[in-house]
Amino acid sequence: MRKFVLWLMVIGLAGLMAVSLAYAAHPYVDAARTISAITDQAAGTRSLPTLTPAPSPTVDRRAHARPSPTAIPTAAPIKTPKNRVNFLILASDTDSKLASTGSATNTQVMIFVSFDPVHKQAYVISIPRDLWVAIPGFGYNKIDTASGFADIRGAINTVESNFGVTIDHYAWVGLSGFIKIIDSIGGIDVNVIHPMVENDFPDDIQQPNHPFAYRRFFIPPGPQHLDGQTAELYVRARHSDRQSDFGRSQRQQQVLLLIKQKLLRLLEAGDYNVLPLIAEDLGKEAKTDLNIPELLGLGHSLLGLKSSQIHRWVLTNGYTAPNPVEPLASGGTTDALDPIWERIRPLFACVDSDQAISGCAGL
Amino acid sequence: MNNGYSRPPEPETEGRGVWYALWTGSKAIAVLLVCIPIAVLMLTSSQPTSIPTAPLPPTPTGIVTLPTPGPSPTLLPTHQRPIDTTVSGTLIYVQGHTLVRVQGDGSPQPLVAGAAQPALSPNRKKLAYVRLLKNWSDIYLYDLKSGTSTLLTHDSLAIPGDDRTGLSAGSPTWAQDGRSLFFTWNAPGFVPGDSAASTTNQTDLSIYKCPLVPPCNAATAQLIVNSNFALTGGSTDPAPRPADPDTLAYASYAYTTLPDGSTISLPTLYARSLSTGTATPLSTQGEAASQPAWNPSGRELAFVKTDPTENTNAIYAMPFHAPGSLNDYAHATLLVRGAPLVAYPTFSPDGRWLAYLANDDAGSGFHLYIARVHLGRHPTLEKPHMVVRAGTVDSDRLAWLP
Repeated sequence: MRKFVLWLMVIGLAGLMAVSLAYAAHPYVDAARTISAITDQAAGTRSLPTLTPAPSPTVDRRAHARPSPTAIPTAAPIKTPKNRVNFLILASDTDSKLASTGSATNTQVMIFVSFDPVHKQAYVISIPRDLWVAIPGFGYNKIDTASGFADIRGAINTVESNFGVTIDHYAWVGLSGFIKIIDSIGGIDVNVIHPMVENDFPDDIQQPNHPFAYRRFFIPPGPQHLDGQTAELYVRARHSDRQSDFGRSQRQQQVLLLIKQKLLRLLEAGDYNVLPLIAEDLGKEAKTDLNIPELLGLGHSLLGLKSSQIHRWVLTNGYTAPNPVEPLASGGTTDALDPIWERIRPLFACVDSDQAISGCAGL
Repeated sequence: MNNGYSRPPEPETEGRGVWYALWTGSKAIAVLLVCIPIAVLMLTSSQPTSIPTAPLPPTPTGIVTLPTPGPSPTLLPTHQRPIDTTVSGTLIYVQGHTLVRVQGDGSPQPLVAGAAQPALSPNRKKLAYVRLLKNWSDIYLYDLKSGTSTLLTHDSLAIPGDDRTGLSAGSPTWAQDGRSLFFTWNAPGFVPGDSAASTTNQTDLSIYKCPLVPPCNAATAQLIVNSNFALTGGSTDPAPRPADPDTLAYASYAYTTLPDGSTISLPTLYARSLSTGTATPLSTQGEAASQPAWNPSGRELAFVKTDPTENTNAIYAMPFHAPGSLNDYAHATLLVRGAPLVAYPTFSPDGRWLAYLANDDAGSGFHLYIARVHLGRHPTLEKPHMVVRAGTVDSDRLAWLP
């Protein structure tokens, strides 16, 4: 009799596990689809996805490029040490507007990361979006247009040919994806830096059928609990900030850190249910050629880095020179930053080699 | 007892336990582990660039730096308590853009929807508040007896079909005589047909004063503090000194370079003589002091001081000797430290209590607290009582009815 009861318990437990697994499988399928979309693994290939529905550049965009010169100066490829993994991080936040016009997306953030997993060091170089460079096959233009001409591959080719590095992997992140996360985690408490008043703010999110609609808004200064929509206003505004893009970056940094803090708090409290929601939020806002094991490994490594193990550069003063009259192929001029190659290329050569361990500070 | 507390909705956990977390969580974590550090890396890698200089408000002559409060046990209780029976009057706070009166027993009473930033008139009969619209905001007057609202501000820039032409009015505060209001405004606002909007349109707040006879517009409003369009955020938080019709405290924003080299627009407290227009700094520039709140005697001023490098702040109290000086700021005393944030200190009409908002590490909004406050030579705050829990209170100004 006792054995019979024992067997009943075993069979019951097995049944319970089977039901649990079957139930768990349903949300897993959804989450797995989302992850597959992000990692581009569904098709079993590592081909580069497109940022936009229409990868071909428009006639107007090409008109802004110079005719290809007979010889575009490119840097000699640097032999990347085997203990290095190089990434190109791209980000943009105006996809919907550009997609609605059939144009490709320019990258608003472009960052080169050389990761040394052996010595656990990361070397990060921010490339300004206005840097005036040769875009392979499309002549000279601002570097942020490279993805517009030839999508992610265009951006990678441009970085490789101009800076003499090899890009092993890329990751594209849409800022609005992080904003959606804010709603999923229940909002964030932000100390609004200063009064934010905007007269001409894009209203493309609330009026998706009117990508060039504008609105006004006012966010009082001081502590606020912001939902996703208000947080988006806060991190995208720049007209009411004398520092313009840099002020916007400060606020984006502030909000991202708060998202990270709140997410960690939720996970520490055991609220794992937020994770599938966030994976869904990121589904359309993140692209990478890394597969899931690589993502896990890289994520673990990056989270483990201390700030002293992250070495950062920005190609601003000393590496670039403002040029307000850079000529356009279509006529006229544009504001741009001219690269000072004699300073930039040694920097990339250093951070992409074992020389970096002894320091690239003087470059 | 109903204390006006409604528990925030619990996360949906229906049938989703360890299995769900393990299966879906591990995949999601993979993306999060990479995307969030990458994004933080990405954005922290920006460094300050040189910015154009602009005229700054008067620089304080003596540098007074308040000591940064060190680690101390949190003053915030972990659970809600009923309002102390010795507290007189009722509080008005904002919940979901609705003005709500909380009674002595803690029960809430909605007053006006679509509203923010309440301010009580000196005769305690009217509330000034801000009605928030998508593209602009206006100031209304609410009659506490009849329950009716009257529009006060009305700019003449509104053009049908152009949502950008409205102005953003805010921070209404009553003058001592109760016959006019101070408020912030971004007049002249958007200029129709101006393509260079980012450089010619007003995105800074200036402080204005209007009589209570509508319409209050560009023709009738009196400019009190001009932000000079320096793209700093402007001036805000006007606070007339009780029993002193000549003194207006306020916060004015100006760019400051922090020790780490970054540049940021931070508030400084000022006292302005309304008769002469002279502005006297009440806090050291770069100390990020804002949200001035007078106690009813006008002899002390509470304010919020923010640590600009961290997401934390604290409420201080300092003595005030007209016309104000940094010497008073040097005698400021910490009342309550945010854990991490506090906001909107508001004295009770008898000056014995201080109401304020504070959040906690959960980052899920702000709680409403009251605490006995003792001012004078050594200001202190007793253990606070939570009146309304986060999730039911907006981070907005408070009004205290006798």
